[in-house]
Amino acid sequence: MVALALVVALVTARIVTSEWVPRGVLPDRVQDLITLATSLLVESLPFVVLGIALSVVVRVWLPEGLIVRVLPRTPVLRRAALSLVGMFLPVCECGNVPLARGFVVRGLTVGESMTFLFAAPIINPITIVTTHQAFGFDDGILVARLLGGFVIANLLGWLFSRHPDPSSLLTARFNAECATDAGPASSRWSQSVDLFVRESATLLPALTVGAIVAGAVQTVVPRSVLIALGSDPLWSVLALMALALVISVCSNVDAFFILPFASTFMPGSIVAFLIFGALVDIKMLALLRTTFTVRTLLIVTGIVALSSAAIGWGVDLVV
Amino acid sequence: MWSELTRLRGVLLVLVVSVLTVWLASTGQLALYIHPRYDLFTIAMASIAIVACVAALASALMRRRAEAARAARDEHERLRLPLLAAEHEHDHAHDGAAALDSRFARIAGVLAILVSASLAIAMIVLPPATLSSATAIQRDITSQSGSLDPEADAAAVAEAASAPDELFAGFTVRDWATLLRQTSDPAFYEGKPVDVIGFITAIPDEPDAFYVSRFSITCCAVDAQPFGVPVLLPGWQNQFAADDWVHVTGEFTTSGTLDVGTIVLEPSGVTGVDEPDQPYLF
Repeated sequence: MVALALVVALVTARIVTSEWVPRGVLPDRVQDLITLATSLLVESLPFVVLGIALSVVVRVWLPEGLIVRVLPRTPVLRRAALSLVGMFLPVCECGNVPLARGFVVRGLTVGESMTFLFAAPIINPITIVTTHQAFGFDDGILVARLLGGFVIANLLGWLFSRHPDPSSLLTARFNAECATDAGPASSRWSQSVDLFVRESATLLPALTVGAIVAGAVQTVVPRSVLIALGSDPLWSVLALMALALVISVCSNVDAFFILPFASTFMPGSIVAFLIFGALVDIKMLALLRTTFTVRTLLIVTGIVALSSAAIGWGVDLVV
Repeated sequence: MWSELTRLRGVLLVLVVSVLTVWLASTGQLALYIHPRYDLFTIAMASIAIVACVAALASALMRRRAEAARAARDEHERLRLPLLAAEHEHDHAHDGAAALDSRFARIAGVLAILVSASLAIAMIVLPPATLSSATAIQRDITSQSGSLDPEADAAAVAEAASAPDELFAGFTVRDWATLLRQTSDPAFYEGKPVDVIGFITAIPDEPDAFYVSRFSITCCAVDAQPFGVPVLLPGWQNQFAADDWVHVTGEFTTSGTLDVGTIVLEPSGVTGVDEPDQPYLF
């Protein structure tokens, strides 16, 4: 009853204030920052909720050990298989975070979950279709993106699978979460609700802060600084990677976003944008911080950035 | 109360964004934030999220009541068995210590909650808004590029040159801005009627002209790209302000000494209009 009253109160507040508060009460830049952050939240929340729902299914409803059983036993093949899971669960990168957390809790190693986490944003049907719509097979952009995503995800998975103490890659809080998940004391429905509360408490503040920071950086850094670097083979790759980091646009549609820049920038920098931005950006780092330590994220960002830049420069050499 | 609020912070944030989404959709303002192709998915997930949040809040409240009842019972027990109570308190203190992450993590957590709460309040209180001309300038309205293939562009321009006037009259700000990037040949534009709606972006260091501008979005407002057509109207500041929506008709001419490219729109009429229902172009 109280919960319903809260919904009614929120709706009433929204309706009433839309009549009372005049437009333009805030300076333009502050208002634009709020518009940008709100837009990122409204756009990504459905994917995060869907991701949490899938994570609940994996953690509460799937039989114990099922995922570990159905995957190949050899680590390399197992990670390769996991990098294709995104073909069946096209959740978008923000939604993959709760799902990857679910995989770790359900017995996959950190390296294996990372492989899924970093392959799924690129190797999924929606991203493939939109990248193809935007670029076709021109300049090998689509092929380089898919192969690059697959290779980087498996490289990360392999590297982190060699870590002597994988749990040290995770935050203390997430390690505690993994430990508490073991005992199903209550009914599955109440476990599901409880998990929804816990996962949203972890992910939503991170997503919100990520959205605000991404919005703030965008209202402060002039786009012309990046565009000016467009025609230089070395700098154009780095400039578009910086743009990808800042803009935090979903991997499902980033191809459409970057298409109008295609005549200014070289194909390799477009590939670097499409690979790097799908895996790492401000919003995504804020979300990943709920699960991985800062040190882990720095290493991941470094590896993804170096690999994306190398692939970008490689494409420019070949094309 | 505070601990309950922190525990439920995620649910409350999901609820606020979902309620806002459904309200924006019901008042036709969702297009201020996301591309219409996501409407169905976004509204469906927001509705499911609202149901999930109500269930989560109801279950949290029930648990709270149950805990209060248990606490009352324990209190009763404690009066009878002081030793048991002392042990219970000891356990409690131990749990508390384990729950405390490092101090830094706690401060970061509280900050994150405060920042998220501020945005949540802003989302409920402030009127929905489109991006302003400040962002159009910041995103470099002048240098957005055309398409992948310059040869195809040239062919398109050659084909457009013989198109009927009615076609050009239907062109948006984005269509004209894209054409202007592809060709600055004055002969191409001669006699072609322009009829566009957009908001005013002032041109730094060029007081005699402004950009009639629109944002184009592919996913959400975050990726909005500005397009602008320069309009020659000395003294426009006396009639309009930046960000005002205007309906501009006229024809293109050469810009002379103006610092806005070779071609500029010479208006036959500029009238103020309301912001359109779909302020972004898709």
